[in-house]
Amino acid sequence: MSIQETIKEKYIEVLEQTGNELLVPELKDDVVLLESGLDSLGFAILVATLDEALEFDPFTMMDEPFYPSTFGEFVEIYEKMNPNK
Amino acid sequence: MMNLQQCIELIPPSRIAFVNESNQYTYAALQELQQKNLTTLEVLRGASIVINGRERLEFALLLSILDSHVEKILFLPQDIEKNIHGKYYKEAGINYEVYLEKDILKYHVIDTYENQATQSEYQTEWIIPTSGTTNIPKLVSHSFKSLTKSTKLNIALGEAYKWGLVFDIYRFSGIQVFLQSILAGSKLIITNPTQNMSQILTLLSEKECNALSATPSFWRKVLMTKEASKLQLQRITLGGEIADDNILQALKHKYPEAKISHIYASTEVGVGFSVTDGKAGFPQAYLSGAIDTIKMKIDKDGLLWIAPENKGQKYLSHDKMYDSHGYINTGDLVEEKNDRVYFLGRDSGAINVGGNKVQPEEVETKLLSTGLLSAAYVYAMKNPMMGSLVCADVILKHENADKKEVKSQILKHCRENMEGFKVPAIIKFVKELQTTQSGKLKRETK
Repeated sequence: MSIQETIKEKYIEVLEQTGNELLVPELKDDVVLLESGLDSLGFAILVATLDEALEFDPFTMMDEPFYPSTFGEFVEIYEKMNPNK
Repeated sequence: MMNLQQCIELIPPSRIAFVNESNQYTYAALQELQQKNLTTLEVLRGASIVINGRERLEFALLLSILDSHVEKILFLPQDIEKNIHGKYYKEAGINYEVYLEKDILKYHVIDTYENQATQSEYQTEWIIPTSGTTNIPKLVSHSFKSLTKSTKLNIALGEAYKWGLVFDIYRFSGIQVFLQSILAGSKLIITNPTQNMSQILTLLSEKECNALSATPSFWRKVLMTKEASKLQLQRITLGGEIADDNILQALKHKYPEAKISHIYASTEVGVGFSVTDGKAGFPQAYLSGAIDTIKMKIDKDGLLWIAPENKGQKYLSHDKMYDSHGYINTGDLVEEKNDRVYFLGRDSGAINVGGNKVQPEEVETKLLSTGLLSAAYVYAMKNPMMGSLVCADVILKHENADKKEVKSQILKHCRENMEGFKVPAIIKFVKELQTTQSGKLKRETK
């Protein structure tokens, strides 16, 4: 499974886990994260869940803090910081 | 109340006092042990001594012969870090470290002691470290008298009881079991903390244990073993952690003959009260004087304060223990609901999720109330966005259950019954949970 697919799967899982719904028809690259249905707690959970699944957390690895605003940017950070590539 | 030796002398000598996997001492043997070591006891008279990490049976023997001979006995459990021993010795003014070698009392000098003891009998201070799951344990000074206020001396009835000791005898909870047993002339079955649950329960059933006091965490482990069915328990006590409805009901179901009670006690307060109606928490009436031995109040932050009947205990460090009205802050958060008071957890143990406080114990209770898990441990996981997230390690009740299904059911249950920030962000299924020497869940921040 690609990183993008893993993120999509976990994203939906965390939405369910936190009792939220996807507020856009589809998770596409240009979807604005904070309008997609997950709140800040949900994102924190998503990052922790991805840390379990992918065994890395790009946000703790970054030298300079960067906060993604779209789903595409979020995935890109994971792809860029992936230590296993 | 007399002193410990005078109590021992009243008990029919042929009764067994202590037994472990390889040794056994009758009440007569305790008196003989004392006679045998009179010369050394004379050397130690009036001194302050430490029992440092010796085996539980040895500790029980030492305590039985030394009480009322020495000024202070410092209980030093194995799990206390060596680098604070010196600080404790100084605080307690320790002169000797004592131990037994083949029933001969021996000692090492810690600090010089000029024996000018004139008293024939001392009101020995028992210096007990708090369980300090989160910080350095504090030393609390008690005496045989202060500790036995609420213990009944009933030697006739005591013959029927065989108490299992699974708590650490160096700690308040273990000492309580020791005293309960010895003051009634009962048998104390001393288990070895390095053994696994199945070995511990085998020893208890072989020695016909019928009364057992343990933490809810310990009881949950007991119920997961095959050996649990071999125990013929008449008395079950829970203490040291929050007893939830789930564990109380599970024990009632497993041991229908047993009288079950959960006890509120702490090293500082001593024994507070016990609850015998089989339900979690305690009746609200307890707050308004329904128990005559202690007084209780809840402050504006939801913390429980208790004014014990006996105020002899103090911190050795001279830190303040009481407020101006004689109440002790227990550090336990409580909530009043439907004429009942429920424990939420330790004030110091709260998890901070984005500025919201979460009590791990509250989440654990919620998880266990699904009936799908046999144990749960909730802790903080550091998180760059929220500060911390709530994580849970859980043990499935039915090993072969579908984990995904269980996870979604427990999360649903949590979401419907708690605020979102309290719902575990990460749930891990594990085979076992670590407990401390005192039998409490080991709490750490990851």
